[in-house]
Amino acid sequence: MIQFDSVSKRYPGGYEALKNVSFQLPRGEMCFLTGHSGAGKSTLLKLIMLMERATQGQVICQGVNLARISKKHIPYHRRRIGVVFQNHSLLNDRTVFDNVALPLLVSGAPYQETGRRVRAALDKVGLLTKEKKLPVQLSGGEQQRVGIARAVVHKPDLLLADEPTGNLDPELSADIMKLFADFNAVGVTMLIATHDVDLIRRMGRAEIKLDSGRLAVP
Amino acid sequence: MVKISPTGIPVRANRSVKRWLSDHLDACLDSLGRFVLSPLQTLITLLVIAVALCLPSMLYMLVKSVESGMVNIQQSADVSVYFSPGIDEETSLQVQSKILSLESVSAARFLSPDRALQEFKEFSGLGEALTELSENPLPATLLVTPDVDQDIDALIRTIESFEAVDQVQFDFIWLQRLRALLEVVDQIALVLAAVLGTGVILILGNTIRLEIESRRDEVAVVKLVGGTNAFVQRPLLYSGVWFGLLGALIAWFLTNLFAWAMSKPLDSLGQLYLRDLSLVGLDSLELLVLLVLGIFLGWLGAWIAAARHLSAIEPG
Repeated sequence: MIQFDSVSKRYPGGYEALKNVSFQLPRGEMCFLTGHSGAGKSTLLKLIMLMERATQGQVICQGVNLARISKKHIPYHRRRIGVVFQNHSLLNDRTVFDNVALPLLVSGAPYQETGRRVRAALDKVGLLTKEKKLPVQLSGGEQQRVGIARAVVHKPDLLLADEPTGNLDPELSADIMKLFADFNAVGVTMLIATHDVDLIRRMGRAEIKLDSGRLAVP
Repeated sequence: MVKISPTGIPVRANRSVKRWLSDHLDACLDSLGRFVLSPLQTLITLLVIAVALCLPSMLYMLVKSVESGMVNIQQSADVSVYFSPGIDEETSLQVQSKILSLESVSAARFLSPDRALQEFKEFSGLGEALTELSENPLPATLLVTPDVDQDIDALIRTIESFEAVDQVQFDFIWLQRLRALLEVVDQIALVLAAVLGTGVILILGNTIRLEIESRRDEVAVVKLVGGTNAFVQRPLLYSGVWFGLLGALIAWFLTNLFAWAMSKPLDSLGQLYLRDLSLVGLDSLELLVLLVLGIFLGWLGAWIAAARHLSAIEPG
């Protein structure tokens, strides 16, 4: 599903966030991306989302060499991926429903399907009753679940998460991870960046560890 | 149909025409709905656009009205040709036919001295006093009606060169000067329209830029979930179109208000010249031109702002 071949990323200004990273994430896998802050976890995810481009090596995602995707086609690449952030990135002036519907809206999905899929996604994260609320009216854990619903509403094959439990207490974090495991059980490939070591141990899943931009043996 | 890019990614959703229309309707109404969120700011922007559009349209209306009034005046503006004393009627009639053969003349009416005196009695109100005159002081006269839009100065020079003619009088020289003046005003209106039209583009460009700035986070999120530039840009372009359209409508209202406010003073002015003077408001075709112009300028301003600032916003 994801393949990195000797990928390096140097930011303008000289900072080298990733150095010669190679790994493969097979389809259907659920994998944790770990490392201290600044180890390059976010950069790695950004390369997959084409928010950044690799300076060396190649990234292949869903069978496509990302270097070959022109700027114009980036949106279509992103539509095949779900992404969850630590800070939720929700639109605060729109309802929970509208937030979750956004990926369907931008891709022009039929309306009947939109309502059905949004409610299914909200149901999955247990927020079906809150669809008319604004994000600010929800707790932090609930907001994160809205973010997750938005990431899976268009049924992507690949789900990326950047510190999805960063702001949550252990109990809520366990809930979120349980959700992720459920998605993985129905075939979604997952790559989750986190530094929550306890959590990873309990989950017993594959792990990619970064240390100062290099791949480390976990 | 779903299009596949060279890299193998489907790049076009299978959207029906109906869905395309409904997407545009959404963006169109959404952008209008946003006006309500900051009513004062919106109103001020609209008024600035309206003022910029209504200045040239007022000038245009003024020129148009005066021009149409001038045609009326000139149609009744005759050149009076006085024959030298002692010229007999036969010679006068020869001159008349010569003048009539000139290209720039549409009519020439001959007045014998007796007839001229009679008309003078009727119109001057000096009837009784004039009967006291022992002999008729008036010469034979030709009233020459020039074609509209002819060079009257040249015509007068030609007639003056005829031997039997004593004097040529034309009281409407000022008309020609006014016409020249109007041409200048017309040019000013054009230049003003160009300058202010550019102003409208800049104003809207700036308004839309601020709108983009205030929605920076939203734009980033939309792009992150796969929104194209076209998708993010759509409501902004409609915003520009609304600003242009509503601004033009207000400009039209202001222009007609101006015509109405000017009607009374113009009426008084007209009475002094025994003419009907009135400002002719914008007709429906001119209104249409104004609206289309407003929409175009609004769209262009928004498009420039979107093209310059939107692609700079990337998630991350």
